[in-house]
Amino acid sequence: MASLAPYTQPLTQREAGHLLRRTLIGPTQAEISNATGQFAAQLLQQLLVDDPIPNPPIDPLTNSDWVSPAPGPNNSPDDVRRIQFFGWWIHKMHTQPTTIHERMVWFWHTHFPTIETRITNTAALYYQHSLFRKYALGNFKTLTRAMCIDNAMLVHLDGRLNVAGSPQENFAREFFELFTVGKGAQVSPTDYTTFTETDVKEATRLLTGWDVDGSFTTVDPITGIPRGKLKGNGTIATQHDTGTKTFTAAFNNTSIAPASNQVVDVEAELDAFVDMVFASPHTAKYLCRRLYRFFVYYDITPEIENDIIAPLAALLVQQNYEIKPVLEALLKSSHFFDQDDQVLQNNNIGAIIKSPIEITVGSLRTLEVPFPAPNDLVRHYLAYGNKLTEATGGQGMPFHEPYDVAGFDPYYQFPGFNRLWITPNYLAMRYLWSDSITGGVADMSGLELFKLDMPAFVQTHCSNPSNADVLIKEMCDLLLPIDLDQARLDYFRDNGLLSGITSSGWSTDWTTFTQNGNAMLVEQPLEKMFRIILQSPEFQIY
Amino acid sequence: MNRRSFIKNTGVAGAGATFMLSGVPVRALSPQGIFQQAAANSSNDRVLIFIQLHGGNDGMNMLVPRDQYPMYYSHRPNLALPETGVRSIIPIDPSLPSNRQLGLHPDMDGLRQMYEQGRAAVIQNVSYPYANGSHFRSRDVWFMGGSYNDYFSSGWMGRYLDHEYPNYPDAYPNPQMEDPLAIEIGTGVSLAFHRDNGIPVGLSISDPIGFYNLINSVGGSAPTSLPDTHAGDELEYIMQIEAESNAYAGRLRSVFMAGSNSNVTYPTQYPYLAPQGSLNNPLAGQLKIIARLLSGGCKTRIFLCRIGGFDTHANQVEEFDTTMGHHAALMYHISEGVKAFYDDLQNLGLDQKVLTLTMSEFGRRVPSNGSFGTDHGNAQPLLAFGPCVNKDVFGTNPNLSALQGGNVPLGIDYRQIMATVVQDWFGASPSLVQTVGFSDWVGVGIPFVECAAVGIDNIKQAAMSLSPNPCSHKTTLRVPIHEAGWYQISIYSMQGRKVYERMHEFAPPVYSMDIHTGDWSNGGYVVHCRGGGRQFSQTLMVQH
Repeated sequence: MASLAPYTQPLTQREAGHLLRRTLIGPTQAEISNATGQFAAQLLQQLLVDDPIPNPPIDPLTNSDWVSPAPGPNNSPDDVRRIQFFGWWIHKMHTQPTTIHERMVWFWHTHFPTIETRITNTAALYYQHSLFRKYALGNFKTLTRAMCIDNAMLVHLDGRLNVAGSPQENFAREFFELFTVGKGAQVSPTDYTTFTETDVKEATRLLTGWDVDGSFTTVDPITGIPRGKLKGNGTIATQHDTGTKTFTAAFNNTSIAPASNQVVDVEAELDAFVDMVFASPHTAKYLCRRLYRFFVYYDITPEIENDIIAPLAALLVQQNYEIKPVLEALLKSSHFFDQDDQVLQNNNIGAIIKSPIEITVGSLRTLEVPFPAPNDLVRHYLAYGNKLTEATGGQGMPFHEPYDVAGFDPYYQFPGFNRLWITPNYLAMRYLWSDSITGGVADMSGLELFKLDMPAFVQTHCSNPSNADVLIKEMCDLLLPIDLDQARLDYFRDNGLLSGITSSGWSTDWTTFTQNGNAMLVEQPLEKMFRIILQSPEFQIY
Repeated sequence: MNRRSFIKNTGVAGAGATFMLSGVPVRALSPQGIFQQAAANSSNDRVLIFIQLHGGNDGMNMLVPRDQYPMYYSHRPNLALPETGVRSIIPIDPSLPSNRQLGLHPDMDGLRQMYEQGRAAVIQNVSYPYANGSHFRSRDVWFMGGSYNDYFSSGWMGRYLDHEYPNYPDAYPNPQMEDPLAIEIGTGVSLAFHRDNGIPVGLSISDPIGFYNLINSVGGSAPTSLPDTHAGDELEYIMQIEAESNAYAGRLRSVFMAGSNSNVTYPTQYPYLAPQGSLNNPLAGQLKIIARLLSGGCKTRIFLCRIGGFDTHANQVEEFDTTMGHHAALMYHISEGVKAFYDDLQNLGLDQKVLTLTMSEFGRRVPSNGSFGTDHGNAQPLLAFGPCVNKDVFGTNPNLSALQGGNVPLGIDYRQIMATVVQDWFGASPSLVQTVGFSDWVGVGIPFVECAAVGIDNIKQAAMSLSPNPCSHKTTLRVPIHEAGWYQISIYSMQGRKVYERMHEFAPPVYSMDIHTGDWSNGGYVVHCRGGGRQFSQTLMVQH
């Protein structure tokens, strides 16, 4: 019996780590230790908070941003600004405060995927991203409505090519299938339970006549963020299909028509459409399943569907699609902490396979690896924008560039879901990444961009590093989501830290290092230790 | 990933996992069949290659129905390929009746040549009942081998291989099967290779040498015990992938190093106008790796290549020249890539054992849209390649006056084709066909595979004999014959060089002929005999 009843015991170190690993991207030792002993509800008050809206990325060529004013001839070309945008975003993840905000930005990015190479203007991507940032903990319906006419989305799914008399179904179909009601059982050639082919055609008609606004001067009054505009003279929507659209039983046979072809009435029609889709019971359930898979575990059994998804969906509807209450309910539940029954086999701590974001950015944050500062712009973007996106690409996640419009397979593809991150190639590349952390990554001239200072880290993050067992245990507690048995801890100790040296030899070397600061004595064993832990199956999960 | 050790599959992970999809019940196939004769069946070493066209291929501009050209044009004037002129559709087989007369896209001359050489076939109107307009669901259906409302957690290729090679992964690699059961070129593993329990049977590689170097530089030993939780399940999955990688990396590298391509030039670029991102040939390199692996002795049975970019909702042609552009480039890449591949295989003496099929999640709508593109459709044509293919067009041209919602309706169920592959190409027994899930389709196969497999049941028919073997100056070939007719005898050296090829007229009951080997170098040769719907092969040693 799975249960959303709140978990009211003070959190153990393992439980605190679990909550932070799922809500942050790579929690630090201090964050986990501060959370230990707290109650989940309390902790969530601190976690479920918006981060302040950051300043946009700075272009090193002009030393100011390219958002406002729009980029000009002195700015970097668009493809370079693209990398700056990616780097700026990854930097935000790496330096996030102790809130769920960055993780939710990532969630929305996986929910509304956009293939970046289809978008030729980086500002459009930036503004789409701004919607995720603004509504990270906000209102799902408002965000979805905004995505219908977001400039990048209008290009990505051909919304701007959809005009009265020449319909183009791409966006309408994915709007139902990927963003809102999802696809249910197929009961006839054209009926997918949650929507039908007729609904796709009618929605296509309803979404006709929009265009991108490349000047980014059409600002949405509700979101405050630039978006597309209706084709026409600004008052009349000339390429909009103004007829009545009649949807099927999946949407209560609702008919929608604009009062006129005036822009204001066509916009109201869009609102009516979004209201209709969100009135379907499938919308809340579909989103809650995505949240569940993202935060808890990939397999949704009938029991989970009944006991967790259904009540969460009811809550989401009752809260008028505000996300925060649903996140709170899920993340403070006894189910989330494996405390809703005595059955071990269905425990979810450590049950999600990391995406390349957790492997790369997450490890860098947990190990508190410093990166070139934002005022060292060129190297800052090189490290965050180029090197890290290269790494995630090699691990199967080309940044902002899924293979198809549904996004990266592990976030949605039955039956493997997050197991799809693990193939022989990807797994090997994830292991190889640890060499970048311990060996460091340099720029073209050989100057180091980032590297874990292993002796310094161990000195400040272990209570007694000269004791091999204590060192191994504390590093494993930090880096791995589950407890290990003694045999495994011994393996990491003997084949990692103490490979080729004895326990007392290590102790002596460490003590010598603390006295004279000569790191050479301790670097090699520490590198072997980090390598063996980071190149383990246990490090692949969280 | 050195010093591997892994836990034997205790059945903890994956066992009894109930698969649900958004509240929709799943019907799982029976897991392990009784299949004692896997070893004997493995004597069939035939290879199947799928080229997945990712996104939904616009078959109507790949193969134009010449008997309805005006109607074709009126449905898609902004995309229509011209009937006449310098770059016009290429008629492929004048001998066919008008309702099977097709014109190839002008950039598919390679396909035309292959068809004329008897190395290609077309199968029209392929789909399945209640076909799905969703990329993801439709692709799943094709790979699962089920119907529109089946939600298998395994793919039919996975189920086939799972039974050909039982006890994967624990019992592999072994001396009888040293190579991965299936290989997906690239870095992901598609649903096609999933099995009901455990890790997929497909290994994904993009570069065998790089792969080996990579695998050997990372990893360590696996834990010796796992928690009995979901985390433990994920750990076991990861460990099995790691073990599989270790097991195969060295072998694939050796096979790849031992193999080589012949001097065929694989195409790299589309030579005409198309968007920058469409110019490079994404298929040729994948096929080239496969050819080299096969030449090195790789015994992998199924390969999957994938090329993307077929979801042509917009701008699939150049606005001022419909024969060029993004879709045209894709057609060229397939046609020239596959032709180079088969020329390479022929030089290597391997073409007889390789069958290649294209597959795509659906075709596209016949009427184009206003964005010079097409929306999701239904039935589509499939291409089959290989010397063992019956040169023909199967299925009549779609009736462009009787489209359904603008789509080509179902004519041939994709499972008719896959069942034919499993039975006629791989020589699967009826019980295996059933376990794979295709028993309903066997009686209605599509006869596009010309050389029926020598399966267990056929072994009773005496194969051809060569005597003496080894021989010095002469050996006598004897073939039991059931029906008179012309048979082709081809003989290749082990390096893939053809030393003999002639047609002979055989008559029952036994045909006998002498082969003179006095001038041949010492070494091994392979003697192929094809005809009467059958094929025999035999090695011959020549020692002077």
